[in-house]
Amino acid sequence: MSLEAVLKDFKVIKPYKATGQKRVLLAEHSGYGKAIIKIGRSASKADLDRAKREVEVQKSLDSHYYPKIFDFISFADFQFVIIEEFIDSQSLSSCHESFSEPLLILNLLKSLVSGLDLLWQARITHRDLKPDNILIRPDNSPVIIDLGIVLAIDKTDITSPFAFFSPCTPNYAAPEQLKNRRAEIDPRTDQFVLGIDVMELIGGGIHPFDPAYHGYQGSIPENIIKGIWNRELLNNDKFYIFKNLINRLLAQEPYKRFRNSKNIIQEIENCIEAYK
Amino acid sequence: MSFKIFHQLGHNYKWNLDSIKEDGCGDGLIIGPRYISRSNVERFEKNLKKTSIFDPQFYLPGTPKAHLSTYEFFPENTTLAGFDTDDFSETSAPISAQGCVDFQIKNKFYRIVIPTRYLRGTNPEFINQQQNLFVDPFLKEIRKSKTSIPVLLQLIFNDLMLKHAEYVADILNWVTSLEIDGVYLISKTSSTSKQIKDSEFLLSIFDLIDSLKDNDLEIVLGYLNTESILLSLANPDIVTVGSYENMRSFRTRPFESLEDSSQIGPNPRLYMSQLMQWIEYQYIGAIKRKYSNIEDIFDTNKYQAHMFEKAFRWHFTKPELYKHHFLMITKQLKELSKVSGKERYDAVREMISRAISKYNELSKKGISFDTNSDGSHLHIWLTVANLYADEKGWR
Repeated sequence: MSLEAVLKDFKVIKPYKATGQKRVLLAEHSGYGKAIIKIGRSASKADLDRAKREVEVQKSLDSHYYPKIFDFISFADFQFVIIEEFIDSQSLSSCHESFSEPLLILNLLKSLVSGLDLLWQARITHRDLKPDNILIRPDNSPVIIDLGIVLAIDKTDITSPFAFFSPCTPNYAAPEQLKNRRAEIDPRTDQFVLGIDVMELIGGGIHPFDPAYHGYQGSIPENIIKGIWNRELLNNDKFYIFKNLINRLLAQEPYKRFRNSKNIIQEIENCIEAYK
Repeated sequence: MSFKIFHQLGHNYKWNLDSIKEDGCGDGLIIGPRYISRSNVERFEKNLKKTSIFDPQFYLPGTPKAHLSTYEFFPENTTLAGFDTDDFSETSAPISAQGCVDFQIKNKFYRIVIPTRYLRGTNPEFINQQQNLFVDPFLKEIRKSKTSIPVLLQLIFNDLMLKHAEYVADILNWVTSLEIDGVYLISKTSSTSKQIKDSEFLLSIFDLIDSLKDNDLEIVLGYLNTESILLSLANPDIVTVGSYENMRSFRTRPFESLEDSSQIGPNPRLYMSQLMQWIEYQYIGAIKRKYSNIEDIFDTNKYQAHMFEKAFRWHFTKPELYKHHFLMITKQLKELSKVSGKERYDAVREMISRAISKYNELSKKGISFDTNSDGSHLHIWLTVANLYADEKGWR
């Protein structure tokens, strides 16, 4: 079967901007209704394996926190198509102003942790939890997307050990990813990025490791590695209750973060209680 | 939070059993197969095993010293050609793990221990070796067994490791990622002093325990001497008491194949709880002369009474020395276990301060101790306790 043959059953509504190796379309299908079509061409078998992995993981998660996968088709030339559920939503990066109040942020974080726990229980790390990969439904509930660079701890890592850093978006990566300390990448890596996401909401959309906060010193990844972030944001009356939670999420060493989702949720609930 | 007191069993472990049964000292045992054959361990009372931990003692996996040879799962016993790291991890590690896990589950011990190999210095292969030789195969067997017995990972930190912050961080990142319930922690000092007098070493242990506790891990502290009193500040779950010195300070010597059995034993010592020190028995006569009421300085009990009889022949192999120690140290530890946080700090500080005062009192009376009987550790311990209390906001 060719790509054209697959696409002929869909009516394309609009293309989204192409990201990395992927082209993304919004389309209508007689059986699926509105669907997202992701078209990619892998440069290698490893890349194709990565796409397959995204699909395998996502298919195993029957949860409202993740879009459903309708189909995955790969072609001989490493091209592939993923067809997944369309979710009426916008990305967290484009609606951060909806989460300016502490309780809204805490409830969002609690939902994200509950959703991610499904991955973490399966010993899988998302590894790319940037705000673009968190969709927000009209009722403010989150959906986690783009599991393209997940690493199942029990499976072989498809990243070369000689890479400069592990697969990630450098501005939304944990220190161990940027240092390519692969043995240390586990669900606690996702906690760090959740910490960045939350601080970005608290900072009104500005990245907490942004050098603008620090007299234009270093880049965001450099600041992540050095642990330089805008702690001042937590010194005001509105957000000081977040201090312990954020300090643990953004701890440089994984062992200083939370050991599991239960502990994070407990801390979030402590914060919610403190606001009440 | 209260903590339990376990006996670290070694040579003449019957004394420890007597101490638990007859004197009510301690809550359980850490059973060491180096000193107790497999069949004898299996014959331990069920109730006792239920509150005891079996330490497989794989410290030197190529040397099945003494009764270790009776355990078919001891690493060397699972290989025909002798223990070799690479061969063992590929072929024998699963067999060893299966046998050891089965043994611990069948005997219904209080916890299951994943053993460790002792490595000198800051070996860069520490994590890889422990993971491949023991952790992976043990966790696989434990998962397969579906047991609900909590799992402890044994870790031995020497002083070089403890003082190397990045090395410790790497180990902590690894340990806290494992599916375990706690850590059975052994710290090994290279000092030959009878008491630990290295503040950095002690503070590093506190940091380590804190990090593990922050990750909700149970902490068992093995091979402790009097520093158990000080370390109780870090709120461990189990502390240990032991008889001979090699049960109160971790050494590899008893596990080495060429241990020199002809070496001279140590001078007999008496534990004096008011001094928080074991003093050489030859001081006892001089001290007695200076106190009209011996209770003002000595602990009194049936063992002390026996030891103070004129006919008593002091020797380091006499059980009274150790049964007396068990009585007194468990009494001190029990008092501390009743309180927590700042209250425990206040109690420990008070104990150390009183011991310093007692040493001053003895000094004024003309008693001059050698460095292994004196109170030189106490000022260091007080400093460590104060620094830790500062961190915790107790001071």
